Amino acid sequence: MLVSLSWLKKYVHIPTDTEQLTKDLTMLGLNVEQCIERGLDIDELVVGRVLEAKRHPNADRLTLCRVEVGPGDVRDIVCGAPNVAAGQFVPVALPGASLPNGMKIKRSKIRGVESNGMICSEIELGVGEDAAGIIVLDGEHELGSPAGKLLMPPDTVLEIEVTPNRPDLLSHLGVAREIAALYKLDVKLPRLGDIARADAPDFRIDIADATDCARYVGKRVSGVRVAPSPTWLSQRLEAVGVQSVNNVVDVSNYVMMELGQPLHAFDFVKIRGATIQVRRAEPGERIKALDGKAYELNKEVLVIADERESVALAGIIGGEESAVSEETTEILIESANFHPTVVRKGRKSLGVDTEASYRFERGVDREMCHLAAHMAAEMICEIAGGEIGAVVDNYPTPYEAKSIAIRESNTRRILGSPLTTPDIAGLLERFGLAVVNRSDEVVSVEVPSYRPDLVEEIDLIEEVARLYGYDRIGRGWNFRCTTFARAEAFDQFVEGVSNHLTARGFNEVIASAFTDGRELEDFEWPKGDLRRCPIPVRNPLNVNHKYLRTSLVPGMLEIIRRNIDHGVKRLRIYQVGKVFLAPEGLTQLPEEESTLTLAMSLPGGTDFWYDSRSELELFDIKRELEMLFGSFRVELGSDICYDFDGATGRFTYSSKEGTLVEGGIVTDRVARRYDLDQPVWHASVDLAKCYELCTRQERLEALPDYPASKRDLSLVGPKGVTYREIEKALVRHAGRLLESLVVFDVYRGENIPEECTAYGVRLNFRSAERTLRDEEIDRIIDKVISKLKNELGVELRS
Amino acid sequence: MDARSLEESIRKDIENAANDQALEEARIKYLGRRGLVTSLLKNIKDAPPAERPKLGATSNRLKKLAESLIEEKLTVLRAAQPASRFYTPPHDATLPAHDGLTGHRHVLSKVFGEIKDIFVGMGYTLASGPQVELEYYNFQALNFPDEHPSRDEQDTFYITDDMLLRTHTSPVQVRYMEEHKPPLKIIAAGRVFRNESIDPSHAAEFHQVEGLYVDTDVALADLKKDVEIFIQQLFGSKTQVRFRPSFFPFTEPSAEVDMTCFVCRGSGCSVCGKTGWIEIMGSGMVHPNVFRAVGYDPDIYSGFAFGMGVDRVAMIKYGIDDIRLFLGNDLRFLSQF
Ligand SMILES: [Zn+2]
Repeated sequence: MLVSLSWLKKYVHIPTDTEQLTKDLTMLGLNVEQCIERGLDIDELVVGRVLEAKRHPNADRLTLCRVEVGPGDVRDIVCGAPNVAAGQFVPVALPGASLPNGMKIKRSKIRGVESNGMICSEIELGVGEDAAGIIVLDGEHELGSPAGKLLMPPDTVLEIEVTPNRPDLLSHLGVAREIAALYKLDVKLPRLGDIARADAPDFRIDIADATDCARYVGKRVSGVRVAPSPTWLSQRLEAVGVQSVNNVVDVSNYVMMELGQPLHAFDFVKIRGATIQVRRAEPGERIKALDGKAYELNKEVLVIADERESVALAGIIGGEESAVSEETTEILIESANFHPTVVRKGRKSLGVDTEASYRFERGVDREMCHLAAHMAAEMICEIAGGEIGAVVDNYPTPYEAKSIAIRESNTRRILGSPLTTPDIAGLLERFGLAVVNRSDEVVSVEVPSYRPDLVEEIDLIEEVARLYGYDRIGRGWNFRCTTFARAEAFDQFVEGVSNHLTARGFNEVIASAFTDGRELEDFEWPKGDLRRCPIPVRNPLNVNHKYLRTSLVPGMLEIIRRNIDHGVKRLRIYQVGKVFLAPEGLTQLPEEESTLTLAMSLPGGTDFWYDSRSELELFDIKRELEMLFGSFRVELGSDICYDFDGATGRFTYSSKEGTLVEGGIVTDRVARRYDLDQPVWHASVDLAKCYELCTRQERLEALPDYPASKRDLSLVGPKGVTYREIEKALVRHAGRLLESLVVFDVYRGENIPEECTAYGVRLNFRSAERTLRDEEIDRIIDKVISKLKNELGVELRS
Repeated sequence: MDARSLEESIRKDIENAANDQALEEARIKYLGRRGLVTSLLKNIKDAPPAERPKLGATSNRLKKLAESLIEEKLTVLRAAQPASRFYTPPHDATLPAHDGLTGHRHVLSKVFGEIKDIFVGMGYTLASGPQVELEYYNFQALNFPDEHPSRDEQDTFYITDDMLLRTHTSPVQVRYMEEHKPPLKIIAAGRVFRNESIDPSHAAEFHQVEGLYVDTDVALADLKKDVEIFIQQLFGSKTQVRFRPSFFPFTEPSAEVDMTCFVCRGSGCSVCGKTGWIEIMGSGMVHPNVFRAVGYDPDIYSGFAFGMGVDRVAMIKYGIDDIRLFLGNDLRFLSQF
């Protein structure tokens, strides 16, 4: 909301300078975002009088003027404007003046004749749009006096941020009330002529629904002459961001900016049947509005109609046909109160937003309707001529004054400030809230019609607080800490995982939760996998926001591609984020799974001297997972299956509860989609499931007292038997004396049967109670070897 | 052996010693208890008195020579020989050992971590809630009436008629209060969504931290103190904080929190729009309607809530001028933090 200080001064005295006012308003809750200084302050721009105007000897279109620009100071000035004439008072830019459009005035010769200045037009001075002729000043003025002040008086305009709860601040009167409260002053209300003239009305107003339209005041003005507005009016509107149209429209906008009541002026002759109907639009009804657009209406839209059809969209915008035009002489001023929700739904369904709808949506003071209509009528008569006619005030839903009580004890409790009942009453009265009842503890005040935001006690406590000053509350208050906290265990786990990965050289990334869905075809997730049917967003901003992601991998690939584009080709990244999984036809909130995804990518060929291998492989990503699991004591017990598909490079760790980890290499098909020509290995971990598998050591296990015995075995696994199978069987049959084991060698080739693999396995045996005897271990080894042979066909390599 | 040939022999043996062991052998040969030089010295007393001074001088000279040659040779051998059996000197020890790919936390995680640590220290517990949220928790329960203009400030992505992507972290307040009885003191953090056009200062996805404290007799004064302590912890103890009245549907009285601009220290510059103040969070006393929605009696309990954008805090803290950088994940950006 733009407010002009000179306009505000009509309603309230401003006892401070702009800087202080800005601070005070901001701390009262009217945040001043900007101060704009207005005015025309041009050196060497003076009032002159044209003494003589004759045709230029060498040019038909130019006029040679003799202009008096100060007592006795007469100069020759060449002027190109058609409207220049002797006797006029005009603004003259003398040599040395610089105009707002950048022009610098110099003494010059125009077609052989000397010219000592320029008589200015509106556009040259930036005070209006008229470029056709020079400005002719009304009345008589002192010659040589500064002309800028006459053309545009100095003013300061404040841009105030108005929160949606305060519709009353969308007017100069409303802001003036706050200033009055701030400085303990009174608001000066406008003095108007006889408001209750009783002409017999020549029109009717029918309101179909008293909720849709609480009040409708129609006021007639006859015999007006529509013309451009006087400069003061158009400038005042322009200062607060409203464009001048003509004197009648400008007056209605002026009253809106002043009182907050949106008005509309109809050309009364165009209202067929002299009947104003306020009703909902019929489906299919159409109207061409003042913005030049045709709207197809629906029953959400409230309209003003004559006996034939809609002539305006109530509270939103007028119709083109019934609008005031240059031929208009008979006017009907509408000053009405439409329901906020009705206006909002209507304007949203049509996709329009106007100054009027903005105010109605937030709530307009229905007690203001008549006064606003009358003020507009008086101003129109004064500016555009004419005579005030009949008024019809249809007010089916009158404002019911209500009072609210505020307790001293509650005020103190909420604010933590020792305010007393008299303090509270005094502060509220400054806002114009009349005290209707008062005891030691309770003050009851009446809420004025312009404050729809005041509903209950807490609203009054806020008023007290902001006028008392937020900065005065809590001075000397002590910090209390009555609760103790620590991070949740799961959050700590996730935090720990992040720090572990960072130390391992992974960069954390955070990607969008949206996806365009293009991964659906490429990733070839199995049928029935929820990742195949992402949740669609109903009103996406663009194609990138079509769905919620079901996997972090596509976003990571996008990040990898973008970084490769920037020349960053060696990548180790990870992300912790949510994926959204739900069966189609969402009936309840989707599962939001906390997921960790790792991705590693290196360009082909060695590009760092110390790397021994050039290509990433499965074990690079697997090592990261195993280190992570080991570090966080994630126990991958025997019920966790590890599956690896050699053809696709895809691997999973899964249990009965579902997949714990899924990963692999990006397939060529996916790589093509993301335009990647280097290998990417990735793995995604379900963090909640992973956390479940974390084992915690509750008490120290005594360090071993007895030595370990070590045995190396070379086991030859037949085709199709994996190491993990061998290990599982080995652990099972070796029993509890087996402390640990490690694969120290893997061999394929000569000396062992084709397609078989030899694993060198080192077993460590230990007992907590005694030193193990060799025979004991030999027996275990014999048993293990025979079991491995029977169950898996594993042979001891000779 | 005469003195001259003994000297030659010393020089030769020490010179030829290929390792510590050979050198030690040479030492024993000449300087050991029965070494050649040692016996020379021992024999002085047996020589005729006239020859003794000369013989003494010669023997001492040879002893010193042998000692200094051994010392020199030892240095030479040490330099040529690895200090450990497991060690071969590198060809060039100045080569880099690491490819430069170091891991970094995302700047948002870092900033959130700092924020969280401060609040946990002040007694706040971490709470969380879903990102796909019911309209009820995101709006109605937070005192946003249907069709109210206050909703315009939170353009919403809808999933179904009553499901949406949360526009703020405040629904967590409601969910937490439904499940717990006061006193409670929580922070909730995470991703929020706004359906608005993206530019350097607007993102469709960003992150918030929200705080809530409910107990009997919690006052605006407590809010001011907690927030002030937090901001001074995060931005330095000289930072000043100001509360100015504002409006949020779920708090009343509501306040916008500004802090003194860290660039100009309050005198006004381009970063703070010449005001000397930077808007950092929204806050206020929990609205009675929110308490009613969760079944708390507003005459018994009072509380405060506050919320801030993690992205915004990071932008302020590090002078980041484009919010899109956060989800852009350009490693040249990420690896700076
Ligand atoms: Zn600054």
